[in-house]
This record gives sequence, C-alpha cells and structure tokens, in this order.
Amino acid sequence: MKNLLKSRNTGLIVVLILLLIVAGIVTPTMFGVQSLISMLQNNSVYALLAVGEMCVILTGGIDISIASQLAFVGIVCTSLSCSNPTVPGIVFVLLGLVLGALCGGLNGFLVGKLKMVPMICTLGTMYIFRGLAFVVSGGEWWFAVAYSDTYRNWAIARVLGLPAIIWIAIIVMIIAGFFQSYTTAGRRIYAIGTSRESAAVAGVNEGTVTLYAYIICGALTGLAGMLYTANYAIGYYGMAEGFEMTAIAICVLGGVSITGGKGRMDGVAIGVLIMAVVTYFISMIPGMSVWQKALQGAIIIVAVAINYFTERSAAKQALKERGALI
Amino acid sequence: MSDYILELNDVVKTFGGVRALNGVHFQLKKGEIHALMGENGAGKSTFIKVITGVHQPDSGLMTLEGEKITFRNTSDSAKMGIAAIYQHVTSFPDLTVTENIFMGQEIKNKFGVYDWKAMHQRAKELIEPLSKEIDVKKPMGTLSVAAQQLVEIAKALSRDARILIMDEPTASLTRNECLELYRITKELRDKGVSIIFITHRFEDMYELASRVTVFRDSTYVGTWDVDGITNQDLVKAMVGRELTAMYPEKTAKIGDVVLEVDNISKEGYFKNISFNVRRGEILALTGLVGAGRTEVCQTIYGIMTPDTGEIRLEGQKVNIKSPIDALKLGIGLLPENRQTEGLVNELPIYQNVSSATMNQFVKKGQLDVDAEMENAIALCKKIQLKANDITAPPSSLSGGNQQKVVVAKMLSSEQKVLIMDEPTKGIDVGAKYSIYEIMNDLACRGYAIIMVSSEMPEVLGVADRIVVLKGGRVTGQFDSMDNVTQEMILEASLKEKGGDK
Repeated sequence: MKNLLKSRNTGLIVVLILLLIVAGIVTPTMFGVQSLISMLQNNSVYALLAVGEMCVILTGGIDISIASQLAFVGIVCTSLSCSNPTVPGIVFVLLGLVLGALCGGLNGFLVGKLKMVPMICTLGTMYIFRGLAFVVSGGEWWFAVAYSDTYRNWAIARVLGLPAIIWIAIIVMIIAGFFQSYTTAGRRIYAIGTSRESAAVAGVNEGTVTLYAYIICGALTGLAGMLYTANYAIGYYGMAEGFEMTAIAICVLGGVSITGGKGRMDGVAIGVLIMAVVTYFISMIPGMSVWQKALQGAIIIVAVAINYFTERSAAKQALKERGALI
Repeated sequence: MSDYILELNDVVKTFGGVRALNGVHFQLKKGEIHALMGENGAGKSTFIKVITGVHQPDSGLMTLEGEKITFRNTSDSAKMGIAAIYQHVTSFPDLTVTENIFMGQEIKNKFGVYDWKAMHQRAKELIEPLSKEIDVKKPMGTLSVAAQQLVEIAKALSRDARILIMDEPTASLTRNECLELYRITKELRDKGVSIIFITHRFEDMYELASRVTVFRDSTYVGTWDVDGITNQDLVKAMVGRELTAMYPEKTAKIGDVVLEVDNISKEGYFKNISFNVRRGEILALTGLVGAGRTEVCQTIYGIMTPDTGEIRLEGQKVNIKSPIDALKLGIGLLPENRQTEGLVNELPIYQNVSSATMNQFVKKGQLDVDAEMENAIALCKKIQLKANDITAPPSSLSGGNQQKVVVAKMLSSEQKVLIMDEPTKGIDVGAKYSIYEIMNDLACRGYAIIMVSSEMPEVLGVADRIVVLKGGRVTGQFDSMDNVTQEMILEASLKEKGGDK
C-alpha cells in the first residue's frame, strides 16, 4: 500500500481520472463512447512515436528527427500505394517498418558508432528526412480519394469495435513493455542509459546498443508514418510537424528520465492518455482551443517538477542511510 | 606445474605517456588471500583493471595456471573465472539489485526471455547470507554505499569466481560489517577461491592475508609473508621516498587566524569538523580518498552548505551560500579536476586567466582586450608560466603549466584564503617543485592556504600544520611539524571510527 501511494504512476492515474471527471462535467458531449474512441484513434500515432522515442531517451540520447522520418516514410508509402493501388496494404506496413528502421539506423550509426551528439545529429537528419519527403512528394498533396481501401483499413477498419490503429498501438506498447523488461536487448538499453562506464566494465557494447535503440525508434516511426497517412487519408511533405516534441513530452510526462536509464512502459502509456485527454478536451471547450499548446507546456513543466522532487527525496533518503555510517 | 594460479611478470601500462604500471610482478597462490598494499596512486587500481581485461597491458606476461593469457575485455576474464569488486562501485544506480547482480549473465527461460522470478529468488539467496536488510527489488542507487558493496560481493559470488579481486572493500564498512566480510572472505578461501585483497588497513591484512605485496609509484616493491612483517616495514615499503630537496624552504611569516571552521557537519559527508588557518600558513588537509576532504573544501567555498556549524573569516561569522559569496569574501578554490572545473580548453590562456575578473576590463560597455591581455601577462609572469603563446588554448601546455594557469586565474582577484585541492595531482616531479614554490611565495605574500593532498611526503614537505580526516571526521591534528612522521599521519588516517580526536 505504501509503495502504491509512493508510486509515480498512481499519481498519474489520479491526474488522469481527475481530468476525465472535469472533462465530463465541462463538456458532457465528450463522454460519448464514439468521441472517446476517436480521441484514442487520433492519438495512436503519438503512442507509437512515444514508444520509439522512449527507447532512444532511455539510452541517454534523443531523436528530434522522428516527425520528419514519419513524413518521409508516410510520403513514400502513399505515393507507391497510389501508383500501385492493387498492392495489398500489408506490403506498405512492412515497407514502413523497414524504411523507418533504415532512417533510425542512420541516426543510430552516427550517434552510436561515430559518437555524434544525439541532439545535433538528429537535428541534421531532421532536415534531411523532411527534405527527402519534399523531393519524393514533389510538393504534391494526396487526399482521401487517392488511397486504396486495403491501405486505409490498416488504420480505420473496425476490429472488435475499435479502429485497427488503436489495436496496433496497444499491441506495440505491450510488446515494447515486454521487450524492455524481459529481453537482454531491452535491458541493455537501460544499462547504458544509467551508466555507460559501468556498462563498459560489464562488457556491454554501448555503440551497438545505441544503434539498435535508434533502429527500433525508426521502425516504429515508419509504422506510424504509414498509419498516419492511412488514418487521415492525407499525405504531404509538411505533415506531422512538431510531433517529435509531443512524443518527447509524453515520455517526460510518463516518467522517462531525460538523462536516460529510467522510465517504464506503463508510465508512458498513461502519459499518452493524459496528453490525449488534455488536447482533446481542451479543443472541445468553446474558446479554449487557443490555450491548448500553453496547457500542454504547463503539464510538461509540472511533470518535470514532480520528477525532480521524487528524485531528490530518493537521493536524500540514500544520503541519510550513508549518514548512519559516519 | 607451478603452485601459482595467477602470475604477472614485468607488466607495463601507460596512459598517454604516464606510466601507471612500470614493470610490476605479482604471484597469486591457489587458495590464498594475498594482500596488495600501497599509497593512493601507486597503481593498484590499474593493476586490477589489467587483470580483469578492462585495460590491456603494453607489455609483460600474464599467466593463468601456467598458460599465457590475454584478455580483450571483461567478459574474457569472467569466462576464466576472474571477478573483481571495484573500489568505486561500478554499478547501475537506476537498475534493481537483482539486475545488477545478473548483469551479463541473466537467467532466461527456454524462449530466451528474462526469468525475473528466478533471478529475484537467486539474488535473495545470494544476498541473504551477507545482509538481511537488502531488498533485491530496490534500485541500487537507493542503497547505502556499504550495502552496494555487499551487492557487488554477491555479484562476484554468483559468478563462481576462481580468482576474486577485492579493491578496498572494507573502506566504507562499519566494524560489524567488516567482521562479517572477513568471515565471508575466509569461507571463500576455504572453498578454494584465490583472493587478491587490496586494502589500506593493516588490520585487514593481518586478519586475512597470508602474503602481502606492496606497490609504490607504479612499481613493484616486494612480496612478504604476513607472519614476520611489521607495520614499520610495511609503511617504509609503501612510502619510502627521499624527501631532500624535493620541497622549497619555507620562508613565510605566520600571522593571525584568517579562516576558522567551527564544528561544521553535513549529513552523509562529514561531521563536527573544526580547524583554522592563519595568514602565511599552509594547512594540509589529508586522509585517504573518500575521507571527506573535498566535501569540506567545497563547503568552505560555498558549493555545499553545512547543516550545522559556522565558518568565520577574520573573526566575523560568514554565511557562504555559493562560490560567488566565497569569491567576494576572498576565498578561492583551485579545483581537483583542473581539466573540467578549472580550465576552459576552448578559450585562449589569457581569457582563462581573466575569466573570473573580466568585468574589471570593461570600459564603456566594451571589453578592453589590451588591458585584459596585459593583466594576464603580468599574472603569468608572477607564476613563471612557461608558454610560448598566451593566445593558444591551455591544452597546448604541460600538466604543470596548466595548473599554473588555474593558479593565475585565482590570483587575478584579491584573495585571502586559497583552497588547493590536490594541486600537484598528475604533475611530474619537476613541475611539482615549481607549484610548491608558488605556494610558498603566496604564503609569503600573506595568503592563508589550505592544501588538500593524499601524498604524505608532499604534506610533510609543504605544510605548516596538518589536519587528518577519516570517514568524515577529524582523526588527527599536528600543530607542529617537529617529529611528525608519515607513519603518524598514516596511522591517523587509518584510525577506526569513534577513535579519539
């Protein structure tokens, strides 16, 4: 019980429930099942991006190129699908994963093997991928009519009452949570994030671990790119601008330490939901939609403050135990 | 077939021109506890890292049971049954105790997936004989240093090591924990594990070891049977250096008390520390690494604030909350890590010198570079900096001259008290002498100097008075340098907790 009260996730869930109650009171229309489903549907892309970004942040790095990767992969899938409408959607799902993994692999190679600073490196690739998106699209926009049904169904077809994209997001989060806790590759990501020096002494190849963390991030981003175009039935080179910041924000909100090594999948899942409720609920209140960005920002600041205070009290506790020695 | 399980012959390891190991020898018998002793910086830690494959020796022969071995990394040595518990605990603070124990050898089920239940269970079995207090599901970083040490031991045990290296495992343990550790270590030996036990404490050696090897200044001094060796023999072997002409003659006149530290405590770092320093005096703050010396200095300089106690400057109580306060009051700090805390390597030497006092050279909102340069040149002359070009970055200088740049920076503003944390660390003997000369010269000009140093000959050669810390407490104070010997300081710095003050 004491542990439950102390847990950061418990706090997040309380916040989530409070937000839902307030939302229910202020905008009762939001509480239709359909509007909740559409809220989740529109936030599934963020969930995929956040899971990928999380893997990178856990290594102590950051990837700010993901929104551009999403646009690039999304455009490639869209344009190929439009010129070959008979090719089944699954091919583009796989293409999205592979192409994304390649984009992530480039970042991972530069950061993990050539030891570039993650922020600067991905700033560069952010422009590269956005530029490639423009080149591939030729500045052209695609709209709903251009998409084949087998393509769009990967996002919007109802499975057990929910759009497929929500199921994909849920499955990815479950697999990622399992990967992070139960596989060597997943645990190594935490190991290098918590202490590179110790990892080296323990015989962990830090560069390789970094490489595959970025590859995972890229693959999930590529998947998100394909699903984004399938969900909204729109594709243009400027799409998803600023999504990388939302993904990072969700991670921070979910308790992922920006210095690496700390953070859990369940926290990030709750982070996705809180961010979804805030954005969706705000846009529902008349006259409030202009406040959406400011409020998102305020939530991030509060989350960081909570992280700071919980960490400080843990450090104090440790010092007290040390103090007993002196 | 020799009865030695591990032998090292003439092993050399250099780091960028500095010899960390200079042809050392070592022979470990099967099933013995072999103590390895020496001062800080004698090369013990590098020695272990060579054995475990963290570093590769430049030359020399290493044999395991008569066969030549080379390790490319730590997993190579782990495969051969060599495990080490490092002095600076190399753990993953954010990961759980269980995960720290099993890092690199996780228990997996038949699908290659982590079996946390089995790992927690096994971790508990390993930890329980050592301590009943440790919760294996807690993150390592929330444990006390002593508890972390025990986890490291459990980790080594889990690897069924044939050779176990323990680097100062008792340094941060309480008396009872030490006894517990002795018991465990002996049990391991009786099971046939060969143990290298690195320690500063004679007590550990007498209690455990059958033989002892001493390193000094990166070289091998000798190996003796523990029966029949005395403290005096050992201390002589550890510190036996000629002191003549390594230190300039002291010429400063000692005046009134400038800085008084009265009974300051900081939870987790140090307790009830009191001392004072006078004008023209060099006070040495010594003790082993981790005794709390740096923290005490950081407190005087305002990087840390004390929980209780007060600091007085020229009789006035002062409240130093930050380095800015300290500098305003005339207290300067020469940090231990000059590369990271003392110098900005991207800027030219003269800008490094003036970085603390740049505002002096601003005229009508504009920086007068000529004045800044002139001032820097004057200061560099004062400390006899050997630099061809003061517009070059400090990285173009030798270690000793880099240190002089940091000193020049401190002198650019008016100071009363200078704290020098390991001022000669990593500097060659010749350059050390000129740093001592500068210190002597500063003392003559009325500065009160607090020198933190682990090197006992330096402490004896330079200081006017000595304060010895151990485990965050003052365990010895020598107000007159007559008849003070290295043995006396060493004894004070090894004194058990709760000893007389």
